[in-house]
Amino acid sequence: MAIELKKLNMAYGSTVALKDFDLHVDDGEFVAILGPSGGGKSTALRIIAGLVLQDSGDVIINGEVMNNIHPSERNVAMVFQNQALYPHMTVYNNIALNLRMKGIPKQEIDRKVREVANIVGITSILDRKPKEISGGQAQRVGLARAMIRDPVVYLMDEPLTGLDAKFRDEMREELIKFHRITKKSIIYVTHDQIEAMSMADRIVVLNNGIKIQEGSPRDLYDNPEHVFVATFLGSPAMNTFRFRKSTEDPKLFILDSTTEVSPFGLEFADKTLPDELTVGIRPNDFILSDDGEIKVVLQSLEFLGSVIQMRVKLGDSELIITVSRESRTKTDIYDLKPESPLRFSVSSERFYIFGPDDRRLKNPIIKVHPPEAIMKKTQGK
Amino acid sequence: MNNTSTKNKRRKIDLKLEARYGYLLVAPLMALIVIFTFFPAIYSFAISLFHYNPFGHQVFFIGLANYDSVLHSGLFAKALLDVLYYTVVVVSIQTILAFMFAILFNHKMMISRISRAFVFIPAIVSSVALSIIFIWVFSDQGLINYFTSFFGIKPINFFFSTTYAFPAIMALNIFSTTPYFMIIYLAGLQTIPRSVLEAASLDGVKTGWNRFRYIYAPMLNFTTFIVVILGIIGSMQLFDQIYVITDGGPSHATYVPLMFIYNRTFIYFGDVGLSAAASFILFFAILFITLMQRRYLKETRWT
Repeated sequence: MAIELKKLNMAYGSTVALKDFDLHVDDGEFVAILGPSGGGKSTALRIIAGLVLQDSGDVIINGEVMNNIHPSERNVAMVFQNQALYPHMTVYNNIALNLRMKGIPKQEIDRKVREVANIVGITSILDRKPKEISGGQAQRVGLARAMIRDPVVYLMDEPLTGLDAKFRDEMREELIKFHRITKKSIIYVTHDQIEAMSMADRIVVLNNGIKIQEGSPRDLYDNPEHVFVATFLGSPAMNTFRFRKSTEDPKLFILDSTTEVSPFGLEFADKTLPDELTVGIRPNDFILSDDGEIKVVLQSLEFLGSVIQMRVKLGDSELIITVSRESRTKTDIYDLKPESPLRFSVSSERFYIFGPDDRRLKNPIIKVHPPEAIMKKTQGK
Repeated sequence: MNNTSTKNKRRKIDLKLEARYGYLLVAPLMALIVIFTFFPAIYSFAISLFHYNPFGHQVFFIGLANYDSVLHSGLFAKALLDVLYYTVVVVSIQTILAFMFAILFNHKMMISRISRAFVFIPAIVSSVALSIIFIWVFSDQGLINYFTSFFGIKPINFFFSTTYAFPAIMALNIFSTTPYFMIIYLAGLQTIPRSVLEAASLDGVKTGWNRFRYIYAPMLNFTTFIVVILGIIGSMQLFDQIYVITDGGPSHATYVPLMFIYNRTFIYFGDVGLSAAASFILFFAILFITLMQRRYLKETRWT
């Protein structure tokens, strides 16, 4: 195991940055720590590097406890946000500094610098200063500077954040390639779920210093255990609404809304569910259908190429639905006007149900009721 | 078309009006600068070409003769060399000390904020008041002699000694100007990104010397040049402390160019033309050193 963190705790004054944080990273594994800014993920990375000293807990690298070891002797390398290159040194010296500090002979340094420069493709800019190279080149210099140390693990602190969107996609590819070449573990901190999803073998979701869930990207997307994970992963984000137990039927839940009739109802097998639930549906799980159970009112419609993104009103809440361009209704989809009613269906296994503590409940839904059925039920009593 | 042309005209008028307001607002300050800086400078250049004795009512043009006699007066040459020696010693020591203080106090902790404030006190005390305090500090019953007496050293009256008077003045000025330059260094330290220091730490730059050699010194060299230039200009114009404490003595041991200029104008001969010429020689000396520095500066800036 490359890295093991045991019960890390860290607080800055009264602000808790990490709480009982455990992490295992296997050799060669690419782990992303994902969370909003201020979630404690950068702190975790800095504690591994030794730049910040934890309040309690252990950092174990390659089986050795590293709590009081200087950052340079932990056998880790870090790639910083905005690279943090030494502005007064040439690219060559930026890469060479570490070996120079170790007192390695000049020829050996030269050989190694040229070797890593060759791998990341920056041989032609070795004599330039950081201000004379592009953002992407700086990115590669940052990687080369980390690589020359041949570390156990690469720590990457949002390395793509400063780059423009188009270039970020390219650099993601390069990082995946980099991981394939070096075969070393990478711990990658980011707030961008797309970066985490596309590169990592495993994602650890961190919020307010607490690990919410970890697993493979697919696992987190398909089986979020927490509302936070459900809404943080995926773009556009999952729609969530509050549902409450119907007064007439303990198995029936309706939208918690001021509108008279719930736009749809959910019937569960279990009648002992809590009174309030959070229901989540991903935007692309809605299927446009004339006899769908879910009744919404269209607000706006955007054509995004492969998909059509709709903003619709469901009771009081607004939600986002994406449908494929092949979807059909009675009227042509492009002729729909704002305020026109629409019906959607969602298959019952595509609902994500969360309890009042925001944890996932795995109670099967028996039936999705259209508003007409709910009206009948409530009037029938 | 007619419409746009009137619009343009109006805009032009607006701009003119705005510019006029601008001139109006800077006028008072410009007037002060012209009256008290430019005019005296030009005027003194003019009188440097005259034999000008306001007390004897003798004024006549003598060309560059004043410059010639200043440069050939042994006293001015000595004064200039002395102040250069003073500048080399004071600027190097105060620059190093200011840098060290800045590194020492560059923390967010309360204690370093308080110490910073304490260290800064000498910089805000008036030079005359500080000089008067230092007359006592360096007197034969003063603070320094009190401490050295513990080691069995006989008391020295520093300001009455041709050997020690000038070094004592140097010590006083290092004490009072270092904190000012410390502030400039502290500002410079703020511009070094935290992540660069972290990267250096990971790269194994961990001893104080290595940190200085690879990170602080190269990244602060622009700050250092500012500190050195300001230091040189200040040192070359040394006057108040000498005027208050030693008056150029003993036996011209602390005689600096401004002392020469002052004495020639107000004390001995009243030869204002000669003094003006001496002022311009000093001015060109400072200008020359500053320009030399600037040439070097262009290539050392990294931002």
